[in-house]
Amino acid sequence: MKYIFIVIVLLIIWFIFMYNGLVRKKNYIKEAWSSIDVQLKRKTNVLTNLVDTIKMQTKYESETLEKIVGMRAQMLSGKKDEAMDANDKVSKMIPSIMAISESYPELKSNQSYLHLMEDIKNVEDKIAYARTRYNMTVVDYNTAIQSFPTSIFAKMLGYTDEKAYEISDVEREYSDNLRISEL
Amino acid sequence: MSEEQRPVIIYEQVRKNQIKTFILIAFYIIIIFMISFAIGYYADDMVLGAGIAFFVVFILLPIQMLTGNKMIGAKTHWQEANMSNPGENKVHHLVEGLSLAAGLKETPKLYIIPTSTPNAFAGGLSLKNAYICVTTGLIDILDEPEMEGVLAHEMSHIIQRDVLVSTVSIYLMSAAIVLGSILFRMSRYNMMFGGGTRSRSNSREKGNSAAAFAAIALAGLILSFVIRFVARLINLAISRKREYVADANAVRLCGYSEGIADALEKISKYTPEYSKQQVADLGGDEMLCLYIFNPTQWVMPLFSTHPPIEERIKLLRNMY
Repeated sequence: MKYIFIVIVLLIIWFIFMYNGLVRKKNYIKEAWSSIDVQLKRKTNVLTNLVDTIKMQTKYESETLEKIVGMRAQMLSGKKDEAMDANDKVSKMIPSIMAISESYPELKSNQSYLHLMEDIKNVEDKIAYARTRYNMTVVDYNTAIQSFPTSIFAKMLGYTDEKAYEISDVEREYSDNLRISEL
Repeated sequence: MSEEQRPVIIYEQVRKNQIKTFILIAFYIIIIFMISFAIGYYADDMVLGAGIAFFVVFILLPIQMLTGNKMIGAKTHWQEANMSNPGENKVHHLVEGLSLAAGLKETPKLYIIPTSTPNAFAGGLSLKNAYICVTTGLIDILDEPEMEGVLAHEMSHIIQRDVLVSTVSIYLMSAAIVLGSILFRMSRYNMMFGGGTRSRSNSREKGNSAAAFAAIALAGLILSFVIRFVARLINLAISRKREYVADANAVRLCGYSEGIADALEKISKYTPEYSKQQVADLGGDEMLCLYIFNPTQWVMPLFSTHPPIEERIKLLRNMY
């Protein structure tokens, strides 16, 4: 009788630790996401200013510019899939914006344009860092809820796998190029 | 070396380190209190015992902690990073990014030491007032991925709370050993003289205990030099291990091991040995153990704060 009691107490203690661990890990993910979100907001601000500057300086109109402005709402939606998807699409359009300055030399001597390009590079780096951290927290959490015996209870308690947003090789290459290129 | 190969999540590590640090420091403080009270007991004066403990923990320790930072600043002539300098600005952006990746709520401050010797170190007793310090020479010779690696290494030291742990534990450890040896002497003295000091109200014996106390104090003073030496050896062992862990965490933070490996190679090739002037510019001999690269070569590996640089580079290159 005494031993059964001890076993039950130990199980309860284990359960408390396991449960708190899950809560904590899930909160890390939340926090990590909010730091991505902050950077996405910065990115939309910088992009809006950049598009305005280009339009003002060159009277250049293009689908790309409109598309970038159109992506704003999605990037700020707060829905992870939607926001990350929009972010990736926008990132892929940035090289073509940079190409605009090739045909408009006045842009290259425009201080605010140069500043904004610097900001873009900066914010892209920050998103990559925030994403690294997000992915780390997701991997940690997923490992926890998939390992036995936590896996039995995790499902019951409504803890399901989270998705990591891996940085694809193409993007990494692109952002490395962005780093190296002299802006 | 199992610890550095285990995948640890930086954030989780911050928490675990907080707990570990707290336990370690609490452990030292409890020991100091126990020894001090024991000394008080033998000296037949419990107030003295309590006084010693309070003095060591609440007066000497805070002084030690508060003055450390200022001393480093005065020795190295550092300046806060100047954002209009493109090189320093770049480093600042990297620090911001890495603290995002590490999940630090506040970005560590960035200081620049005006010397051409490439090196870097991290400091600060809490996450809030943490700082990273790089030399202008380092900014000059490293490219971006390399600089990122070095900064990630320093960021790992901050996360591991290495500075706090080493400052406080070295101090408390030495204090505990000094007090412990005083106690040891006292108890032996007591045994030899048949516990004379415990039996009270005899004026001759009171004088006796005062003389004994003076002798003990002298012995303690001599012993403390020996103890400092031992404490230093322990510190070296701890710091060597922490260097490896910081290297491994740096790789995890930037997801890329070549950066830090290349940086270490560049730094060690650039200045394989330091001249007296270079050591002075970096803040003197006792500062060197804080830096990412410490060229001081000791005959015995037991005495070096850092593992051999070739060993670190080799480990890093094998990591991914």
